[in-house]
Amino acid sequence: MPVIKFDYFAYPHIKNKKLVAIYRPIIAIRVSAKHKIYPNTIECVVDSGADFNLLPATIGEHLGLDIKKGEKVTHMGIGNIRIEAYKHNVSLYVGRRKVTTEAHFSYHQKIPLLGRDGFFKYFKTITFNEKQLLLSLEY
Amino acid sequence: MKLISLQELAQYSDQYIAISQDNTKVFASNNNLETLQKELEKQHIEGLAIHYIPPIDTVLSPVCL
Repeated sequence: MPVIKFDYFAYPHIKNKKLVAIYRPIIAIRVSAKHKIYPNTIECVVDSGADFNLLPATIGEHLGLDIKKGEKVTHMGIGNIRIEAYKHNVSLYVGRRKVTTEAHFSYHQKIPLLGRDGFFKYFKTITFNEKQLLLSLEY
Repeated sequence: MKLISLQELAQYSDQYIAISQDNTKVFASNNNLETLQKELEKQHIEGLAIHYIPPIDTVLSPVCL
């Protein structure tokens, strides 16, 4: 079975007044909708705690989507904070793999997230190797 | 070529960056993604990687139900 691998990305973080790296499982995707493809890759957090994909609304607008015409979905996160998002059909490209799925777009979300129902379920296994800081997607 | 350093990335705390695919050069940055997109379009630049660099004094818990 084909496997796509991504090294975790090292993000800067201040800990005990020192600059250190926090390694996060990030993958590069291309997004398309309505026969238009976003011109750059989007680096998304692969979030096993997320039910669905959640992307900044600006990305959807750039693809020509009328964001608020999508079905409204309320997302709840830590601190019981709720935000509104709107569901649209999209295609996501990860390496050679195309995933036809849905993404929720929100004006209140900065970090692009890939969730289990919108992304994970299209792969046979998704492995987070914390020793090697490596994410593997098998399909 | 040298990968972008943690120190350099830290300058972009709470901003979006458009970085080369080999993670060596930041072409543009902005705390507003729409503004960043327009800047890239103006310069006719495509094929970069768009990252959001979270505030460096926070940790992420992006659970999203």
